[in-house]
Amino acid sequence: MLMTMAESRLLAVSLSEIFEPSSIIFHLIALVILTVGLYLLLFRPVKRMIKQRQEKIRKIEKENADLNEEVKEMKSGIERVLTDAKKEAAAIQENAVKVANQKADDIVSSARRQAKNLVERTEQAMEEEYRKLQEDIEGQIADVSLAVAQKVLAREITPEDDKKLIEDCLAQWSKD
Amino acid sequence: MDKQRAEARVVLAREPDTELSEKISAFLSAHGCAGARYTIDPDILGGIVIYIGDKIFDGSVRSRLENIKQSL
Repeated sequence: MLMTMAESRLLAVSLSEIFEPSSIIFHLIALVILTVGLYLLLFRPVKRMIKQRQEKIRKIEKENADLNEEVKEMKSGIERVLTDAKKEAAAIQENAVKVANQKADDIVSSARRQAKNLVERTEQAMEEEYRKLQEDIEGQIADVSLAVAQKVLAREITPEDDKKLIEDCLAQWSKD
Repeated sequence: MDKQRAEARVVLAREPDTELSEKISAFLSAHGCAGARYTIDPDILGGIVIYIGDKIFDGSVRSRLENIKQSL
C-alpha cells in the first residue's frame, strides 16, 4: 500500500516483459534445447556408462558364480580324493595288518612244527638209544650167563653125565 | 667121495671109555664111515660133535649153550 506510483509502473513493465509470448516461446525453445542437450551430452553417456557398469557387474557376478561353482567342484573333488585316499589307506592298513597277522601265524606254526619235530626226533633217538642199551645189556647178561654156565658146567659135568649125554645124542640121531 | 670110504671126525670133551667108543663106532658104521679120527677138546664142555663129510652132528654142551644164548 505504501508502494509509490513509480514503483507500480516499473513492476507492471517487468511483468509485461516476462509474460511476453515471444519471451515464453524463446524460453520454451531454450528449455527444449537444454533438455535435448542434456539428454545427448549427459543422460545418454551416463545411461550408457551405467549400462556398461551393469554389464560389467553381471559379467563379474557370472564369473564369480562360475568361480564359486568351480571352487565347489574342486572342493567336492578334493573331498572325494581325500575320502578315496582315506579308504585306500584304511584298506592298505587292514591288508598290512592281515599280512602281518598271517606272517605271525606262519612263524608260530613253523616254530611249533619245528619244536614238535625236534621233540619227536629226540624221543626217537632216546628210544633208539634205550633199545640199543637194552640190547647191549641183554647181550652182556647173555654173555655173562653163558660164561658162568660154561664154568659151572665144566666143573659140574661128570664123566657119567657126559657119557649119558653122548649116548642120548647117538640114540636121537639114529632115530632121525 | 664114496660114502663107504668116508672117514669121520669125532670131537669129545674127554676120552671115551670102551663102551662109549663101541657105540660111537656103531653109529659111524650105520652112517657108512670106514674109520674115525678122535679129537679131545675140553672147550665143548661135554657131549659130542661128529663130522661126516659135509654133515655135522653137533650134540655138544657148548652148542646148546650157544642156542640158549641166541634165544635169549
